[in-house]
Amino acid sequence: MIRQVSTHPMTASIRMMRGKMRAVVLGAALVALASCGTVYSYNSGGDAADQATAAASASADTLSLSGFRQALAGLFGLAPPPPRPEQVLTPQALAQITQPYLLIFVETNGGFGNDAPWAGLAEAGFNGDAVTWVDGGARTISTTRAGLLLATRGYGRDLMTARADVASAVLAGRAGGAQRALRVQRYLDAENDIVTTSLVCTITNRGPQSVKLLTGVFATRLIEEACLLADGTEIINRYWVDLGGATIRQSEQWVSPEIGRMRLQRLR
Amino acid sequence: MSFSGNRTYRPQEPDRSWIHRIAQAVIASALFACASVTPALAQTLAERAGTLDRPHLSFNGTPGLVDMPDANMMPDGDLALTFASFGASNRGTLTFQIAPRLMGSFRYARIADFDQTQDTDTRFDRSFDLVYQLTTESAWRPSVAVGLRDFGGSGLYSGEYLVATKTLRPARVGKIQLTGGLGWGRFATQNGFTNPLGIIDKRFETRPARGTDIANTGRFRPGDLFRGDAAFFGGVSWQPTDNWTFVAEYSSDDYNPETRRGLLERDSSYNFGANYRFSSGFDVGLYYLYGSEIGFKFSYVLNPKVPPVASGIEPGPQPVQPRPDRRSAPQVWTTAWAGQEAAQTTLEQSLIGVLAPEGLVLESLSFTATEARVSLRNRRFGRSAQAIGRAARAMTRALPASVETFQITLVERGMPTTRVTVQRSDLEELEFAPDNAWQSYVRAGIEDAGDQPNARQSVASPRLTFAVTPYIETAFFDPNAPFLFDLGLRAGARYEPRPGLVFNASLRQPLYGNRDNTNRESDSVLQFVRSEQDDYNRGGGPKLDRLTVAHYFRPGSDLYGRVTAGYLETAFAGVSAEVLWKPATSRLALGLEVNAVHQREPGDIFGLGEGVFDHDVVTGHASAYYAFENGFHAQVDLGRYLAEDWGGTFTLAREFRNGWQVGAFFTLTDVSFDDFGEGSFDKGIFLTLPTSWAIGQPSRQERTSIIRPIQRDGGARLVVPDRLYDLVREDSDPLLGDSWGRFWR
Repeated sequence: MIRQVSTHPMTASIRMMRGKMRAVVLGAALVALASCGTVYSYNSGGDAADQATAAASASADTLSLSGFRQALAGLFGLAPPPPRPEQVLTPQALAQITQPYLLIFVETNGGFGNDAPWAGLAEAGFNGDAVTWVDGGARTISTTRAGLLLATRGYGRDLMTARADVASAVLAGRAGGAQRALRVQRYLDAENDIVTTSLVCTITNRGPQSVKLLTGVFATRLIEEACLLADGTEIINRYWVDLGGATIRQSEQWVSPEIGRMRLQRLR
Repeated sequence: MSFSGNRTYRPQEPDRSWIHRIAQAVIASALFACASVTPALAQTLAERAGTLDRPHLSFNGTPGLVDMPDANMMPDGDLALTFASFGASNRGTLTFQIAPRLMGSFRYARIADFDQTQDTDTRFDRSFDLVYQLTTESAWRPSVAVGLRDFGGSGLYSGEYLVATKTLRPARVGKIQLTGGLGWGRFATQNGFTNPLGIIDKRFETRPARGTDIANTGRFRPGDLFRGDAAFFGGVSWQPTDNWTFVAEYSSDDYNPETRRGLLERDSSYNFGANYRFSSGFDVGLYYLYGSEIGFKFSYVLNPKVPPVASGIEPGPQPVQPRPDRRSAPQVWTTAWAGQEAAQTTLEQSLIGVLAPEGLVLESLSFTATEARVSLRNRRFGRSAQAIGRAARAMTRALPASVETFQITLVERGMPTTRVTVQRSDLEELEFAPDNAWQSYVRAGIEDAGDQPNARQSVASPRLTFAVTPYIETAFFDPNAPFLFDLGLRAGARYEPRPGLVFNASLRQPLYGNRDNTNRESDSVLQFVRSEQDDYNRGGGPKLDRLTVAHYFRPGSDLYGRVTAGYLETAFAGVSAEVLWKPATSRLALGLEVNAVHQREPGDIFGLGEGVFDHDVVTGHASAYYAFENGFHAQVDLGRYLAEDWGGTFTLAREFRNGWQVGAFFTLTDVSFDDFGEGSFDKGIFLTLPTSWAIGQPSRQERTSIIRPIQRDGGARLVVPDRLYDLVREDSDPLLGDSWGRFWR
């Protein structure tokens, strides 16, 4: 079950998506005005936390007071900045992680600076070539076993599905040099319609490059996928592929216009 | 599609040979063929909704200059809240872009010291506008709009106009818009001339004189429109940057009602202003009006198509757990488990384990070795398709491999509504398929569950729940006070001994409020069914909002039934019965409701009305509901109202598929306009804001605000909790299928 994974010591307390916080806090404040949580609740069975407010009003969701206080603090900039990954993922902590572990950063102001929100993810499920990873907030990311992004859930304008057949062949080392590829990404719009975005990409092998992660330095080759959207915007996905195998050690992959790119690092 | 002219894209060593160009064209056409759902553009939601280039709003809350309108429209679906103030005038306006070329407004104006002869000196005025854009702008043609201001209110601001706006974009100067218009009514009080429409008919030259006193209010008189003198108005707006707009105008409104009362010195017809726009949708503006007043304006615009957190930030779904290959692991596919005695309890417990984290409550389970049939209560997801998608994925993690078919029935208040059948192998195959939303929809079987009785006993739904929560109750635009409220604690209890048989109690204790700010003696000539509504909310004593027993059931396929008895609402107690016909795939639904009620005694928890409140009535309606394909929703209710008047209510709403609704209604009954009193007939607007839209987390909660210019006794309907249509329509088409994109969220 997905939520058991989230109790992993490294993923449990990780806070991210600060940029989105303010929007959420504004919304939460609106809701709090209408139904400021529950004072007392009882029910004769079942999951108490889940069914708390059924009786009093039509409200099906509650905000815990601590969550609300935290949200308020975040709104006024009083909350301490969230810790950076190197503060949490110390060598001692990393030594305890033996399972596959993915560290992600979300692009902020066009880059992956110190303010880029981050999260650590562990494996939660497999289906064919797809792996689903889950973070401490139960958000999920699905990739191919190599590391190509297939879907995200819970990050805002999520990637619903992705099709990039040629790119995965290139990454598996089946071709070198410049290659043209198709990429089709699907999103959910505000009225629950699926919106399709098609990209024409050029894949280029940039040659060997070493990548320094928290778990060491890795020898990779850099594959670049330069894609054009139909309106002329250019996006560039970068993949640092292990020389030894077909694992993408690090990558920067474009998710959606609102989220921008994510940097994925395979620490374990 | 060609990328050769692109400036930023420099692929390494681009190959420009003809064979690559052909290849590129083939690739591009293949892309468009497979991307048939929508055009291939990676736009942000704001770009898609067109909300990056919003027009400047005038003091009247509609697109315009300072006090005069222009011919701009807002982006489709925009909802603008504007507050403007100068001198004694304060205006709050809610404007909604109903359709790309149709705009509607509700305005609440407050003019201090306007009514110097009456016991209250401040005038609170409510008015409605409608604006239609006749032509959109093209390279050579201006946009032209026709507007009706205050066509159904007190007539204080009544006027009509025809206005044209042309946009110029000179290099390095920014955007310039020139506006010229012809106005009637209030728009023709300064420098008016004989109505040119007099050519058609001499009667256009005189506007019938109507007082602005209360008795005359609320009557729409199409015969008065575009009559009397006409006058020109116009102006210019200049937008040098995305944030700044400067406006200058010539106003054709002489403000005689205000100047006559000494509330305004009108020294000039020219108004000027500057507006600054924050990226968050807030605008602030500072203006100099009529040569004597400084005015300011504040507005906030949002669009239901642009939620604050895009598609949502809820926890992700549990991944599908694929089964091992049948040949390599035949022991996993055994069907022997189905015969075991403990199978029922074991599977129930394992299903509860995977469904509870998704906010889904198991109502019943039955199974064979290859099929599982579950009934679920969805407590979390505003869109039923997401509840079904989550349930289906969770079931792959809890059921033995031999179970191939999942039948998922949604349950509302104990009633099975819609049954969706999905194949487990489809879930395994489609979880990451590029076109999985569409494919899962065509492979799912969706049918009415009317052949299924209510479960005898719910597996996991709690029988008794009780909670105390804070509350706030609000009332807007009372003629004596713009905002009335009380807040305090509400205690609620719910007991459901059998699925579909529900006892409900809700008691609130006000702790703080300003309900005492209004205490009008009703001057209604009808039974006081609503005009003394204040009496029910005043005072510090506990209020029993509801004490009911209700039975919900399926009388047959496509039919839903409800019987409710008890204290139904704040002002009435009695019995209510309803039957609804709503096929799972129909856009049309029909309902019939009959209620026998007695009015309650204000200020008394259990007492039934005496004296003026001693009122028995049989009331009820035949209703038709229709969801149009373009997102509009219509409802017609014909029947008998609380004051024993007969008539009909007509409701039209724009529905967004994320749960937002913006609509308007009016009721005409056999009560004459004179007997009805102020406002002449019942009418209003309503807004429904889904909580999930605001916070980005799934929720079935939504908040509906109904704004009436005034609540009187004619055309008043009983407020019955849990009417069937809103209870069950979420689970059936068109809403279910239209939101199927959420199946894989």
